[in-house]
Amino acid sequence: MAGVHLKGIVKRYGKGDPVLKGIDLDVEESEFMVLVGPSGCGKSTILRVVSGLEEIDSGEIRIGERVVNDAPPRERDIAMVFQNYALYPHLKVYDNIAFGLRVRKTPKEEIDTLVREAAELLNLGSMLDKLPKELSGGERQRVALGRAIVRKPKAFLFDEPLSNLDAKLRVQMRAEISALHQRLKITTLYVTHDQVEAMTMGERITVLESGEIQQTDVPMGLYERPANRFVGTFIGSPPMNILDARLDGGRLAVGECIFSAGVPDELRNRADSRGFLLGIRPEHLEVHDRPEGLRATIDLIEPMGGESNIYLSTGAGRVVATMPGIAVRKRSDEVFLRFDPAAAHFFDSRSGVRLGEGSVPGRSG
Amino acid sequence: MGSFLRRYAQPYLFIAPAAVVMLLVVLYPFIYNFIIAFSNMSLYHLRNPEFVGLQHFRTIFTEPEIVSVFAKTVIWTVVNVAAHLFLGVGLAILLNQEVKGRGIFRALLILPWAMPQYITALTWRGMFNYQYGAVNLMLRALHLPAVPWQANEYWALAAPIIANIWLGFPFMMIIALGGLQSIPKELYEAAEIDGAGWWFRLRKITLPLLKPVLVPATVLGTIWTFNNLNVIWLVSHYGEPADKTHILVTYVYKAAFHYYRYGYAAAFSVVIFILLLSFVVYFLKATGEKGAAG
Ligand SMILES: Nc1ncnc2c1ncn2[C@@H]1O[C@H](COP(=O)(O)OP(=O)(O)OP(=O)(O)O)[C@@H](O)[C@H]1O
Ligand SMILES: [Mg+2]
Repeated sequence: MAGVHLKGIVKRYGKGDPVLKGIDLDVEESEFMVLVGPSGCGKSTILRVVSGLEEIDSGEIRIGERVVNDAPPRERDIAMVFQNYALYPHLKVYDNIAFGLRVRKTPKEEIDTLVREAAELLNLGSMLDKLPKELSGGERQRVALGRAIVRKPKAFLFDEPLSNLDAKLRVQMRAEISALHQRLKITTLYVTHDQVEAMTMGERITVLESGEIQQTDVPMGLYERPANRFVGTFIGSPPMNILDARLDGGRLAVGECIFSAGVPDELRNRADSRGFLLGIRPEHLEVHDRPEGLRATIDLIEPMGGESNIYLSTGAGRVVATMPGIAVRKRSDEVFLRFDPAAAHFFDSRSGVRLGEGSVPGRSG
Repeated sequence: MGSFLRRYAQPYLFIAPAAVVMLLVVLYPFIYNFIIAFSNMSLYHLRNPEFVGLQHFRTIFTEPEIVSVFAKTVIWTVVNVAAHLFLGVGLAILLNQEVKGRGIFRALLILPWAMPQYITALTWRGMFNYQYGAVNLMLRALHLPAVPWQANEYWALAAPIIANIWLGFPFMMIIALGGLQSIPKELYEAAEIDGAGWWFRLRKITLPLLKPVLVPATVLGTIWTFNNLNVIWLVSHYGEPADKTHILVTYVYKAAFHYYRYGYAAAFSVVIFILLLSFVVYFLKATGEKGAAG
């Protein structure tokens, strides 16, 4: 087992713009690191570069102590689980799992022990004689996992392994993969575009966008202190609301509403004329009837069971609020929105970079 | 019954013209062949053939050349099909890689197939001419002895085999290329990460996954080659030297259309048909079982 360390990785396909624009990423030994980002941001490319399927243009890839920039995949001793599983369709489950061991000329008896051990761990014992086409999606996924763990590699790479499963199975496999990691403690780099998967599985999460790392932190760190507007809106569902804000006589103002609470020092130091962005999570918005706060009209109510998502239009833009229980209000109702400025995030309106620490002076409690 | 007719009359009407033509040009000659196989129809008995029972079959199996003709048929078929498979699959693997000018190579390699067999066969015959043929001219230029392509019994068989290999490999190549392109590239990547070299990947992934397309192609190729009259007939100029260069079909063809032994040739055709039929049944069974066992 070993850590995986990327330093200044630049990767281009052909002559175009780089797809990875200087990636610095450290996955520590035994860590479960999730790499999350929108489609096309370069997640798969990072995995392919680590596995050796693609060469890099510059930078350094280190697995454990060894710099593997020029090492072919087989010398890197890592295992990869593909989105479509990449099971060998003509081989039985047993032979699929044994494939990597056979390549490495492991003795027959040892292969048998290892394959059965892995099958036991993944609950595949009764399926060893089946062909992949005879398995369900979740079972196929487990075979792919088996193929990865049986070799006891230095690190695992997962490329959106759950995206082909239905919602229920996805939740179950999520838990299984996490449990597996708890047991085996193998260094893992796990790619997903699903922020829920990232939040629930990652020990740490790296958010990637357009080939650049936006932030690396523990899940709650990302949630509570997003480094920029992109991370703020990407992590969390429904996404964080972003509203134009300004300072009015030193006080925070959004739309026609001026708050009495203070703002972080960084904001106070900015020229009053320049606007900035205010980010507020849906669960921090309070919908009520008293004429206090931001006036809003309800556009749509999504009952989710335990809670409801309420989509509203305000003078400062459209927002979504989450309320516990079933909403008693209905479409077109006139309401008011209130929030605790202490729960708000502030971003530069041009660069999107976070302003302040998020803890506002004068925050109650 | 009425409702059946009402329901299916239209589709049957549509396929009727094709079905009638098929019956006339395939089924009728096929059955007629069986009938005259048991008669003494020939140039002398063209209008008044008589039933002679198994007489032709007895003649066929006591024919002095039969063993040699059969052996040459097997050699002709096995060498051709093996070469088609080897060249076809090999070239397909090369063409399936990302090489510059892949389109040009692909077009060039399909060319032999795009030409009419007749033209190709006659051209090869010219090229195998002892004195002026391109093949011997090239051998001489390389200071190698000229080969008696048309005078020696063995070289005379080798010549049409070479011509037919050239003619036939593009078919296998196209089939294999189609098969290769349907193999997901992740399988190779997974194997590569597992540490498999190209030889291991070829044996454990490419070939097994090509099998479903190669088995029917091999069956077809075998039947076509076994029954390929044009190439060997034209390149060897009707079986020269001295009727030594024959496979079963050219032998039958000569018996029927040069010596007018219709009944005899028909009986021989029945033998060929049974031979091929048993081969196909056996081959499909054998490969099918292996397929199921992985
Ligand atoms: N082989 C290739 N040749 C050229 N461009 C490529 C190649 N592979 C990927 N790209 C480009 O690189 C960028 C990043 O691709 P990548 O597959 O890493 O994205 P991703 O984050 O994995 O997206 P997704 O979530 O859709 O899988 C994309 O813009 C893509 O078009
Ligand atoms: Mg991807």
